Amino acid sequence: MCYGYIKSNILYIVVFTLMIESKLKYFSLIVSVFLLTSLHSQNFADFIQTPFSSNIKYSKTQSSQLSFTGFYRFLGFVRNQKEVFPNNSGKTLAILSGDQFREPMLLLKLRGITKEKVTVGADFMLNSLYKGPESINNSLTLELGINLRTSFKTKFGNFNLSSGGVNWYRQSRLTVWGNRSFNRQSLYHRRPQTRLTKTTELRYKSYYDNGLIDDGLRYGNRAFQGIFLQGQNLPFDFSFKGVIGKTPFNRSNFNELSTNYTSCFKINKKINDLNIAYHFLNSTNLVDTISFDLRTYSINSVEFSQQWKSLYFSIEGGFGTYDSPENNFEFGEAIIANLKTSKNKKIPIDFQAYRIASEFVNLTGNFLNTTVLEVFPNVGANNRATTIRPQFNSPMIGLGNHTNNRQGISINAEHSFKKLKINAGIGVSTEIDTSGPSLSYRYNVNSETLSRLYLFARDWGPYNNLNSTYRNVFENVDLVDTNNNGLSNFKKYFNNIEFQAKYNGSLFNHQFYIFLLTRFNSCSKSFTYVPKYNLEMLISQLSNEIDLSLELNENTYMVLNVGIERIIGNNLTERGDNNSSLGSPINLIHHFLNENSVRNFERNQRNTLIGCGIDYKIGDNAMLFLRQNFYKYYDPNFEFNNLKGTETMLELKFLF
Amino acid sequence: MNNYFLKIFLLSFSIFQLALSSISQQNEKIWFDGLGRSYFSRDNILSNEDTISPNSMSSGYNLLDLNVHVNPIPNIEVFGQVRVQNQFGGFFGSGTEIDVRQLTARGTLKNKVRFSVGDIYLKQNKYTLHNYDEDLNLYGSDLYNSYKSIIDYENFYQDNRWRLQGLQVDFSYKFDRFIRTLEVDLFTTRPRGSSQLNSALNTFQSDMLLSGGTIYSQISKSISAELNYTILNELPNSGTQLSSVKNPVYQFGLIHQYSAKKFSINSKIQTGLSEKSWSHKVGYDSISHNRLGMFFEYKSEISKLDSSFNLSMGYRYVDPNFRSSAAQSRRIDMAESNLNSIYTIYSNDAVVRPISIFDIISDQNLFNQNISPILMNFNPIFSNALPYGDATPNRVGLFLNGFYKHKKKYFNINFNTSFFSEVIGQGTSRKRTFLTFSQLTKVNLNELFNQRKEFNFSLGYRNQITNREGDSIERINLNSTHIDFKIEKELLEKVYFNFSTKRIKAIGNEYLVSRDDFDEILTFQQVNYNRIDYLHALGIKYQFKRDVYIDVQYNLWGSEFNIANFNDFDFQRLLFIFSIKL
Repeated sequence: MCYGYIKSNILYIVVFTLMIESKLKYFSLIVSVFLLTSLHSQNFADFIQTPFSSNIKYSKTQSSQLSFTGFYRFLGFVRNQKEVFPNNSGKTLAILSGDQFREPMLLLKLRGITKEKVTVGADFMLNSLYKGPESINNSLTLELGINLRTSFKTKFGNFNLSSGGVNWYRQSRLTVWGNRSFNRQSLYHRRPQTRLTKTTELRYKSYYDNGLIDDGLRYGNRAFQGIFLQGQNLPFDFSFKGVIGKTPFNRSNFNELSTNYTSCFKINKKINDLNIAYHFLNSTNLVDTISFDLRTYSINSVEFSQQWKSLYFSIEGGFGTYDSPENNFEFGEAIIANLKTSKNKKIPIDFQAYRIASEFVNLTGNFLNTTVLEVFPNVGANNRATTIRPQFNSPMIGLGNHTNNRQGISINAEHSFKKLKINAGIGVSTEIDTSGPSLSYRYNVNSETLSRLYLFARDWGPYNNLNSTYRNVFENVDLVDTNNNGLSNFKKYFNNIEFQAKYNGSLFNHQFYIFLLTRFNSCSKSFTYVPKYNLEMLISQLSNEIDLSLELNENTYMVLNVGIERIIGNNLTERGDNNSSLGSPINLIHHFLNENSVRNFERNQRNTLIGCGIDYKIGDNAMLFLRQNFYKYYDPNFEFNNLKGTETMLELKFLF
Repeated sequence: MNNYFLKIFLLSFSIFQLALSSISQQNEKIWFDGLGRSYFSRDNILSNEDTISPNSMSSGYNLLDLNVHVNPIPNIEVFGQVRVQNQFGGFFGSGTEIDVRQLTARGTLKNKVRFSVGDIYLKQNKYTLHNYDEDLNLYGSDLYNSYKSIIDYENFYQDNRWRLQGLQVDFSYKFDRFIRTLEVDLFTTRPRGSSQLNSALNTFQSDMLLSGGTIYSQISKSISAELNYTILNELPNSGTQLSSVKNPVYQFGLIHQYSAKKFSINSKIQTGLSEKSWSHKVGYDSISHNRLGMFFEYKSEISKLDSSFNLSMGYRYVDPNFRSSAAQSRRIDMAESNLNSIYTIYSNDAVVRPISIFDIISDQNLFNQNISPILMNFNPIFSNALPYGDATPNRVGLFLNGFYKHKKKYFNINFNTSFFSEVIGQGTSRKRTFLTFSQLTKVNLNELFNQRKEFNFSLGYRNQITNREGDSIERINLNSTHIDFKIEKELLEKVYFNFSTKRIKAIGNEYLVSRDDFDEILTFQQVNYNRIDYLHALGIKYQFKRDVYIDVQYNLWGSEFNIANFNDFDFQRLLFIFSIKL
């Protein structure tokens, strides 16, 4: 039967073979394939594994595990500007999906692991602008990058090796350390990486209890790409870790010709409670591919840390060199010391002192570079024309932050009065050498709002002195008192006070939390013990923010935020364009009481933000957040600095 | 745009999977595998004479190939591969590329007909459809296997197959009289799609199709027969090109197998025909450059059944006009337009750097994935006897191959020798002769000294002598010697130290052939060689298993030309590869 049946079917093949040369060859091929599907063979299934095939034989060789986690986050954003900068195009209403920062709407974190415990990870992000079905301006890309990791145990110790990136890496304050201070901030604002808590209350409760916000892995770390090696449990209690790779500051216009690298390592030795570490860092940026000119800096430092019962002491000191076609610094010293008591003391105290020479240059440490401008790469990425540059011009910075060409001390303490918890700090610092005739300060109020107006831009605004960084804005201020070298005619002195009060209570069986945050900074040409708000100071900055979080029900919290910020400058700073002969009062309360109160013609900024919102838990790992902001940015002496408007944000976030 | 939606579509499977399967891939209908790799290299120029080229270059990337396998019904699988690649130095999404690398549907229809649609990997006979190894591949030695595995993976080289896109089906029958089996395999593919050549002139390149079939029959226990057919043709009406190529190839072979208790003898006799022609639109139906050719091969081999010994010998005749594009396309086109990735331009004369052994070993971008309708260029110092594999036209001669594995695994030897001559002379009535001898010996020192950890060295050698007698213009004498040496020691568990060196020395003269678009020889260019290429490699490799490894290498490489036309060059490289197959 089989033989007869096959005989007829071979006819098809013969027909096909003959037709293949004819004009109907392509049609015949398709027809033949379909004809063949009707063929039968009694023993077909028995030997279908063995016959000749021009194609490769596929087999399921799955031996590894792949899994996904991530989140979906929709941010509906509406900004309605009532007052705008003069160069505004006339578009005052913005309706956006997302707030234009590069943040994932759908984040898919892939993790694969082989039998040998080698892992690979990648984070896909998918955004949609929701601008109508015709719009294809969507993108599928990576949020951070791809990482491969493995670890192996030997008789000499345990080793971890990873490659790829972005990897978040931290070593020491002078070498690699993310910007990290005392975590005094308003909880009103939410960021994409802000984690969902199990309950709506937990975010506020944790901050009240511990003063900590989980900002994710990025916090306090630096983004690196490259090869990472770590060794632990080595002989004689040694350990090490290091990286050869790149940071965002190693980006280059030369692409593959670039030999821009940052390499660093740490060797650690433990002797009982004493920890000794040696740190090294070297960074090179290619200036010219033929002459092989480099901008390079390197750092050697030693760190000691010791725990005595409830007292912790650490000190890191080292020296650095910097060399480039423009500058050559052969030696610059740096030291950061920290003494603090444990948190369980009645009044925990944290004392810090530091001195970082102007020749000590580093872009990845826990301090800002204020002395060498050319070391910042001028390379764009992600539709930005240039690399984001942090504050450079004599920054007025908060407690816990440092810059080079500066020395200072600060002390922080906290105490609880029943349910009222307060913490405060005071600090003073001074430049080591005179610097350029300018300074800069960050806004504490409305900084997120302003940064969203013009993302990652330098020298923008009606007076070309605003600079946007990630969800923040700083402003440069020119000084008019300069010496023959073009530097300011004096050293600058900086003072800070930060005060925070936290209160938790209950109103009709509904929990509420109140957070007050006051930040007071000033910069002057002579030493003072405390910051002052007057015209003796070059710049005085005072901000107050109050957050109120009120439980409406088990799943809902209402949040309120009021922020007020005043910044004034004296006659050594730029004068505004207000032609009034009287100027503007520097203190509105004094002015209300006395019309002849002190006035100025320089910076007289008044930032206010009133915000309200709802945190609502939809279900497990699903929350909804609503925020409504009323902002005002105004300076009567710089007439074009006049912004006013509202922002509405609806955030819907699911974790999986 | 379509590509974009394809990416979204494939990624959607992943998301869908999340909802269905508790974030695990152990779902019967959808499962994943893939590959991850980190690759960083830094190259330096060592020569002081070159003051124009950059002193050093660095490059690198991280990539993830995510394979999505969907089994909507039993015996059917849809396979998609999404590549995510991030350039070293590209932060926060910049320098990231996401592409669909492969998309295939395959399965068995009614448990009878196996099919594949999309990206398929095809191989037939060595004279009809075969992707020959690149030059310098000595018995697939693993001297530089990190590079080699990347090149093969990136260029879709699997088991001497061409990666094609189209449809393939196969089915078979079993009989109880006259013949035992009848196996049929058919495919039609499009190696090249139509694309616009010039937007201003509105000109388009034609589609190129490659189709074929195989009928294989086990006639009796010891005799089997095969019939292979391929046809490569351009479809003139799918483009605006004036000429279109057509290249059908037929092959027929008979195989005889004899098995005794300890050994087997296999003999194969095969022959085939080819035709290649170009049809022209101007002057409809006009055909030009019609070329008919044939080949014949007889090969017999004796093998021990325990695979410890094999010896084969044969005779081969390939006509000068035998053309089989799918079997004669080379992996590397040695044309000047095929540029190296590293230091493409070098020396103070700013000339294009010739392809060296380092580039052949390491540069994935040099390699070709396309079927070429005309014979591609080759470099006689790397391969002169059989630059197009067994199907190299204009060759007649004898060959002898073999291997021996020591019973106690102390050593194994592979060897090959051949003597070929041209069938007709090129540019003269005199014919070239090609004498080749090659061998690879691997000595397992750990077996000799009864150690558990691997310790071995291998020595490969190939010598190829090309000769043509005649007057001073006709005379050719080219001697090319290729030496491979590698020593490998397992220092710690799975951690290998290795040192290897590869060297080619070529002395003599040859004529390079320049062909036109119709495969006709235009001119001969005389070249003189006194060239040495070298590559030394020192490295540490942590090999978790075959496809999962970390490799750190230092390479020292260069070329000495000893003639005025080219400047010598010397470079070094530091390389890091971390590769995972999931």
